[in-house]
Formats: sequence, structure tokens, C-alpha cells
Amino acid sequence: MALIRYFGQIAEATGCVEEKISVGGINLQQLLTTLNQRYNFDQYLTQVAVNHVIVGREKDLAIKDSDEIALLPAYAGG
Amino acid sequence: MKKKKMKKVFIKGSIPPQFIADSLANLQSEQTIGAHNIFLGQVRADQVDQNKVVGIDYTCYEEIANIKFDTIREEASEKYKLTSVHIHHSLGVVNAGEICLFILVSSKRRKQVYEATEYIVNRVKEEVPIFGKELLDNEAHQWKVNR
Repeated sequence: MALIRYFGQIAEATGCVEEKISVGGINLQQLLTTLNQRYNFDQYLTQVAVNHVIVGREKDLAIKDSDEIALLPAYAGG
Repeated sequence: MKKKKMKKVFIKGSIPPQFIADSLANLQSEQTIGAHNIFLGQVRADQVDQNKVVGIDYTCYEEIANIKFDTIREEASEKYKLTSVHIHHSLGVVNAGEICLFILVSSKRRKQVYEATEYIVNRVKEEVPIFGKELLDNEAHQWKVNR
């Protein structure tokens, strides 16, 4: 089960800060599409991180059950 | 190779003035320093339609944020030949008028500290995954976005 973490306005849309999802055989784009159909957060999503590294959200990246995927909205530090 | 210890950046709630004074006092023993520059970010009571921002509730993706702060600190030190760089940011609620970001840059000479401060502030705003919920005086909220 991959760990999906949600932040800021995206966590508000999902109603949780994290959840575990079975991701066998899918890539990042497919995962994002599935999650967006469930939670409708696409308008807030600006960055995606896999295992603490920022990656392009369109990246054709295979996701493993050991991965941590973070969905990040716009930054607001300072 | 020994893993370098990351500096503690985040402070729960607002950054107290005494913390800023203490950080400066701790540098007095570093006598190659000829110039300090300080940037303080303060929560602004923006007007939002009929309401006012009374505070910001900050959250972050701490694992990436700490890596980013470390990289920014190291690259700024190298680029501007700095003697020391302090970066601190709040987490949790900071009320309007309170300090949420503290950057203290120190070097031998004046020119570098001005340029380095601007460079660091810009990179913190653009690269560090920190999120801010602006709390309004009617108990509603909106999400802050850096522009």
C-alpha cells in the first residue's frame, strides 16, 4: 500500500492528511486521475513529490506500494 | 561519511523578538563578521472583501522543507561568501502583527548581506513547501498563495 499525503487546500478537499492506497501496476498519472475523480482537487494541485523528491505531475512514473506520494498546493511561506 | 545534522528551522507559533535578539547575541563571538542583515516577515491584516485577516495557520511538508532550507542555506553561503545564515519559519497559528519568518545573514562586508537576504527570501517563498491558511475575522478562511 502506497502512502498518499495531502497538504493545505488539497487536504481540505480530501478531508484527510494521508491515506494508504493499493497501487499495483499503475503509474503516477493514473494515480492522480483516480484520486482527482474521487476528491476533485486538480485546480489546487501544483506539485507532486515521490519519496521526498519533487517530480513532474505528468511523469510516466511507475508507483510501488512502498512509495510515499505527496500532493502539494501552491506554496505560501514567508 | 558522517551525515551532517540539519539545522532546526521551524518554530511553533510566532517568532518571539527575544529569539531574534538571542540569535544576534550568539554571533558576537564571531569577530570576523562586519555586517549583519535581518529580514522579518510579519503577518499582514489584509482586507478580504468585508473581512480582515487575523492570522495565518502555517503547515508544511517537513521532510522536503528541511532539505530545501538546508540547500538554500548552503548555496547562499557559497554564492555570497557568508559567515553565517539563520533561517527560521513559523508553524501553526501566527496572529496579524506577529513575525513568521526570520532570516539573519552575516558576512565580512555589507554588500553581500543585502543581496544574499533577497536571494534567500525569494528562494524560501518559491521552493519550500509551506502552506498558509489565512484566518478571517468572521471565522471563515482562505488559502494564501505566494505570487
